[in-house]
Amino acid sequence: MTTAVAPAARERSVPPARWDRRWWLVAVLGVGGWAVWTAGVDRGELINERGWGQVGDFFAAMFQPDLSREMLELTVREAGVTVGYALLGSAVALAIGMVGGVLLTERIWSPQHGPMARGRIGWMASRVVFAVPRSMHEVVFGLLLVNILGLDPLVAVLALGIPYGAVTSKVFAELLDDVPTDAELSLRASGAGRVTAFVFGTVPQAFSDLLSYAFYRFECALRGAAVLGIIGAGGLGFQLALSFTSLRYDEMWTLLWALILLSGVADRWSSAVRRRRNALAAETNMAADEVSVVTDVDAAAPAGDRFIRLSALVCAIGVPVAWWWLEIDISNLWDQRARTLGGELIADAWPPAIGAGGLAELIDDSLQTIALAVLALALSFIVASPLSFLARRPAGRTTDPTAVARRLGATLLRFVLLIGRSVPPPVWAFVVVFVLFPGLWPGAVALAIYNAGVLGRLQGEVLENHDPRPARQLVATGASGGGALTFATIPGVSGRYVALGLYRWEVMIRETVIVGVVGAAGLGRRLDQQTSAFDYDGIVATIAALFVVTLAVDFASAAIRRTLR
Amino acid sequence: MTADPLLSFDGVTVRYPGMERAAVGDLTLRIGAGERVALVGPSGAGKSTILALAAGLTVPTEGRVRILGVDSAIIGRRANRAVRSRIGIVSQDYALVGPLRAATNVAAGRLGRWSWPRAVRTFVRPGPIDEIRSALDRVGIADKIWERTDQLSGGEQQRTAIARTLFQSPDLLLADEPVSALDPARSESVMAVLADEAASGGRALVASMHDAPLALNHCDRIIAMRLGRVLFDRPAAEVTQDLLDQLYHLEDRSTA
Repeated sequence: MTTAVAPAARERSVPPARWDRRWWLVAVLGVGGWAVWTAGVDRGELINERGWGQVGDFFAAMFQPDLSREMLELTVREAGVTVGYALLGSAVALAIGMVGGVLLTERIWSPQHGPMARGRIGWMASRVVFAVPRSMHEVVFGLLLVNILGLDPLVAVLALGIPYGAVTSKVFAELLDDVPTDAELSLRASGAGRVTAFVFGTVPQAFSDLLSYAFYRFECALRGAAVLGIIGAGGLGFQLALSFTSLRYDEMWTLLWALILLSGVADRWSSAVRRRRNALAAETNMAADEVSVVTDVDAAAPAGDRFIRLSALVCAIGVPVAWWWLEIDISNLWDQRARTLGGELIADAWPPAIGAGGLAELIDDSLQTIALAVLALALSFIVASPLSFLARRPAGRTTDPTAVARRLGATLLRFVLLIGRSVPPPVWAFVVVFVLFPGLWPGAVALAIYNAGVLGRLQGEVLENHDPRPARQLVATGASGGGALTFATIPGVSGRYVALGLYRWEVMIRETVIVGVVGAAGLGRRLDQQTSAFDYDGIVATIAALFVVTLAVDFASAAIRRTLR
Repeated sequence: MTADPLLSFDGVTVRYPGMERAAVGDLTLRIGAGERVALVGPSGAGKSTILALAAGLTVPTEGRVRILGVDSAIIGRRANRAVRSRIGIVSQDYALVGPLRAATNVAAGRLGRWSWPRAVRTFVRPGPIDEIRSALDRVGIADKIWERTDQLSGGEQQRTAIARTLFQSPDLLLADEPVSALDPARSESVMAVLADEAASGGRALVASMHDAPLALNHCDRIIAMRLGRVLFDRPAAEVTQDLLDQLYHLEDRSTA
């Protein structure tokens, strides 16, 4: 029996290929290979065998921190400074976010509110204006502001507040755009003005999401404040840098333990606030239907709201206290000295100069920066994804020995992840440089350790919020744990895992600057050299290159997420 | 025949935290081989709780449930995997994995019989493909075999969940509102497939159903529930329209 008709797709016995996915796989492997090639694998000497002793010394000091009275007093005082920076920085970010969030909403500019063309231009213009500070890491702001304001606590507060404010604006705008328009439109229909209708009709509905996102920002601000300290802004980070230059590992670990403690508390707090409101979804641009919501979540929401309000109250009290404790003096922003220095900086910075190496070198450094972020992403994703599964809290409270052992192991792993993200990346870079010769690799490894800590935690949250019913049902009908993992849990979370990885990739591009400052590679190293040489017109060119690279990566990441959805 | 029942409930009570009334109160029940049982009654009567108990997904607050001869308190243990592989579940939320193809979701039905390496292999290439296709064909969606499950309509997803259970071919088939998302004609044919499946050798079907005529058509035993208690439990042939009216009418008054 012969048939001339080719079998229809549905009669195939092998799944039809998904070409879009295959192309992405080829692209990912290609980009990964290019990054490895750029970093160099065949350079002969990659690992410095003699460095292991120092790495051992560093980690041995973990268990012998300096607990002398002076050191502890110093640590507590500096921890207060770091928390103060984080609090005030988040407050500035929140203030910017509230204004920027409204300006960036499509709704405010949409046809119902005015002529389409004009609205479109206004919306695009505000997006571009906010994209500039978003593309710059807080350390870049810190380096610039320090030249205007000197060693003033305002440097840290603004360096955190401005870029975080830009990110917060974008997320707030997305949250506000997700609110159904009915309430606002009915207010408008009954004669309310445009702004009034928006403030009373739309904002209240998104309020809890906005607040809970602000807490996530605080968690980030705490880590950011520590990094800023390293470039001289004071706080735990500054003391860390001092102790490192004198190779006092015991002192470093006193400070690092304080950071780990602070970071752990902030993480717990911010997860508790966010548990019921997955505002993070907005940042990772996921459609609402991809955020799996477990059914009993809604029932618990009122209690969540109370907790959010209480937390907000604590912060509302904390901000003026931090203001007083850090002796903030706003007038420093516009006093004679700041105006003179600011004027000089602008005069020096304009026009931008590409420098002796020319455009070719700038492009080469930009490509190195991208390669650095790609390597860091690949390493952290490969490490964090399996760890997030091993580190999850097992369900149930059984007391049999294997369950207890597993729970203990998971707790230990979560602690390791906490250490990974609490130790600032520049410190990881210092440690990694003991064993890896300078270049792209140490920077990539340092960023990867830090980001594995962050990514593992975010992926853990996805896993916790993930709908457990398909896996539970498979186990109930006889599947082994591994079978349910393969057929239900992993395919269920993989989309969100990849989205989170891509979101961290965007962040890592900005973070290349902080490992560059310790001499890793790419635009970061360039920026570091230019800052030490007060080469402001060169700095402007480098920042412009960073802006282009960040935009390109954001664009690529958004495109990938769209096709994978 | 006096063989062991496939499912037995002895004085079973289930209380959920924060709820005054027991979801199921003092229930004793035997379901044997060859039986096709419909659980009917208004929402909140306890039908889904009975199915969750029968699946071993919920344990009773009081009393004891034995599933295929095993106490439900220990059926979750690793050693009882083989027993669990003989329980089939069609849940109200379908419990499908959206990003996977229909074929892969159906293949998951036999995970209970496969080692993990075999499971991983099947995940990459679902099979035996003829049997997967025939399971989907019995519920009328063989043409959707390579579609992504979350791209299917609600009714198609429900049928995919049923096809998974058909492919599994369990001894105890538990179905919670298995045709709730299907049109009347399709409901008839799919119920016929389920009832047919249970009729063959030593098996049983327990299905909760909203639609009483459909239950009477395809099941031979009707258990009517109201407020967590059994109102009546009798062969389908003896269930009159009066009894059914009473069942739903009483609920109307109690909620009024």
